[in-house]
Amino acid sequence: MRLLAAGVNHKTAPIGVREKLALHPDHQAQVLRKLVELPDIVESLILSTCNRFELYVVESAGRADLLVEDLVAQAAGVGAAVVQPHLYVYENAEAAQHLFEVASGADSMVLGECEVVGQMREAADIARGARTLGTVLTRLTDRALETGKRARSETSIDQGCVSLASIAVSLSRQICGDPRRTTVLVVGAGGTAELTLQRLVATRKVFIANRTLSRARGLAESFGGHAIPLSDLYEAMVEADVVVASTHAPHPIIREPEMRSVVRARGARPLFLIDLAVPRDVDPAVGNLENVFLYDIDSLEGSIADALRGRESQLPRVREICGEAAEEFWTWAASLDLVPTLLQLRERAEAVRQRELDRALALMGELTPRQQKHLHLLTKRIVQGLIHGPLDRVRAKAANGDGAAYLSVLRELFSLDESSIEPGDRAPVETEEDADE
Amino acid sequence: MSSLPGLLALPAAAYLVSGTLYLWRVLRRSPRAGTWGAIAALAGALIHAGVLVMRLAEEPRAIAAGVADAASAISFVAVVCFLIGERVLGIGAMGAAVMPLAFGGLLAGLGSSVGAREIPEQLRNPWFFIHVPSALLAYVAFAFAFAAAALYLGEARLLRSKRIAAVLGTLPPLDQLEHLMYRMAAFGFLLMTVGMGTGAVWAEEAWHRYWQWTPKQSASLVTWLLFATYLHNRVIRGSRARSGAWIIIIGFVSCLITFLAVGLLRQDPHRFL
Repeated sequence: MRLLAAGVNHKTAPIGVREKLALHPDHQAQVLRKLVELPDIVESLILSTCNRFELYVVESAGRADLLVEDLVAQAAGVGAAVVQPHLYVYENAEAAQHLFEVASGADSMVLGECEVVGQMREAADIARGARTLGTVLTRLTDRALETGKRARSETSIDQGCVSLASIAVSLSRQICGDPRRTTVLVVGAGGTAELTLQRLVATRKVFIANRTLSRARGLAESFGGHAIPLSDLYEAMVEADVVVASTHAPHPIIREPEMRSVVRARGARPLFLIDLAVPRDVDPAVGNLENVFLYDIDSLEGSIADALRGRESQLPRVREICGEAAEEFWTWAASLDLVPTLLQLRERAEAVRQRELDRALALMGELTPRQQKHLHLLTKRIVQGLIHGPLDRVRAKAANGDGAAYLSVLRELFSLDESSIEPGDRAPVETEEDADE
Repeated sequence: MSSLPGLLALPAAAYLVSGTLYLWRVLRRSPRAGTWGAIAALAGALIHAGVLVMRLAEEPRAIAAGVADAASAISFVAVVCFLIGERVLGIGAMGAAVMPLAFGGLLAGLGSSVGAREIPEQLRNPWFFIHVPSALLAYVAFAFAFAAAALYLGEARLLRSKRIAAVLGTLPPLDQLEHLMYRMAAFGFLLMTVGMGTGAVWAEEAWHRYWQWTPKQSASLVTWLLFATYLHNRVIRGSRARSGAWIIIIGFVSCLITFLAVGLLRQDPHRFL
């Protein structure tokens, strides 16, 4: 049995290629079912997001000649030549480790992001619906989600704000407290203002100030805010807690002398000013006023870069966590192949033991229950002592990837493939003869 | 004198560990350190409660028997209030100030508890049950106002220098700290006013004088005036938070002088406290 992971991501393929591979969720189930109809492919899973297209399959025969790029190309519905130059392929424990790292956000474009967790859950649901998720991939996806959670809680790979919107929201919460009691004033009614508002809608009250009042009204309507003319800007500033400025004005429109009186009127309440405009809308001197916290686009982007560096420093630890989990997973998965053989071997040994024990008991005549019990234990211990060590070692070999060779040797040596005719058939005959005597 | 004060070394050690962990939580942004800090504080408070109960069984008016017992009692109240506040308001970062103060309170108490002292006859008076608890609780409220003010100043400075990562998720919202500082100062001021009023009435009964300008009374008056100034500015003039935070910090230092330094001078009727 082999676990294969193959695909392309934002690091190996440009967007032009990823676009071609992207698979609509509606078609995914159909593609997954087609994959398991192929010879020796028993399970399949596709993770298709805007940053990656990855195929996970379980292949039962361990065929070395399997053309992985064909498989991926077929799944994506493109020619193999499109995929091949960008393809990465992982096998077994490494394949598991790769999926675990993806789930931890360690392979994402924005490190530590957690959108991928939802996407992975969705991919698993689709595969489950298509009945292509077997024992191995079910466990693999469960472990991936668990490991992603663990990596995020044990390291700080998801700490710090890494987008303008999230940093604006977090900072406004940090400075002004509960968003439900926060009043937001947006200066300018362009695209940036709209984007910011989408993230700040949960606030108590929204003012939108704009040079052309009609545009402010339009935006105010869709967000349930109040449109005000620019001339009322400073009045609204007294009430507001968070001010987001993003106009196209060539000169600062929020000036220091006017802000002095605004700050005086506000008393002890802090004011959070976000200046997203270039050239700036807020005179930098305003940032020196007491209780005013002014952030322009440079200071916000600076802290985003800091946060990303902080996340990057967590990568080795995340990889370590994923590696441990992958090892554990693969030890389990590799022993799956052995399970039927080991069971068979154990049954065979038990049959021999039982047969010989019955025979001996019949020959020995009357025994006390205590003697019978000890005889029973003795035979059991001999059998266990003989097969336990070798079986453990075979299990360890399987985890290292040599399982198939040892398995075939085991089956050969104990002639397990001969459907247990020889020893099993002879035994009852002998026992009956013994009993007849 | 019993051996009970010696037992206070146990909660003192727990508070020291807890305070260190809370400082670690704020400075190194480690939430796990905060969790362990809370556990240490809780363990210390449980032992502390046991010692206090035994002490009160020994002598119901013990909290006025000396700085040691009073400091021990208010440290305990402060720790319990903080643990509740951490749960309810999410103000765990304040442990970095409150827990070292609680440790300092026990330590100062331990240091001054040498030598037995009788509880004086004057204290056997009903006013005792209003004057002493309200004065001591006022100190606890001021300690919280101080912790909030210190955090406020630190957080405002970090936000101003754009060190966002040091603040986010580690410190409580700035606005919340300002409110907490205001409420604690107002609450403490109210209690202190009650304490000083009842003290004056009691003094009149005991010594036939309302006010004697003893060191303790004078220092109390300074503290009271400082907090009155802060509240006046905050309520009437709507002052900015930063100057207010500084007044609170000075007010708390004055409060410490009132409580410890003057209490240790042992020259006035308050020598027991």
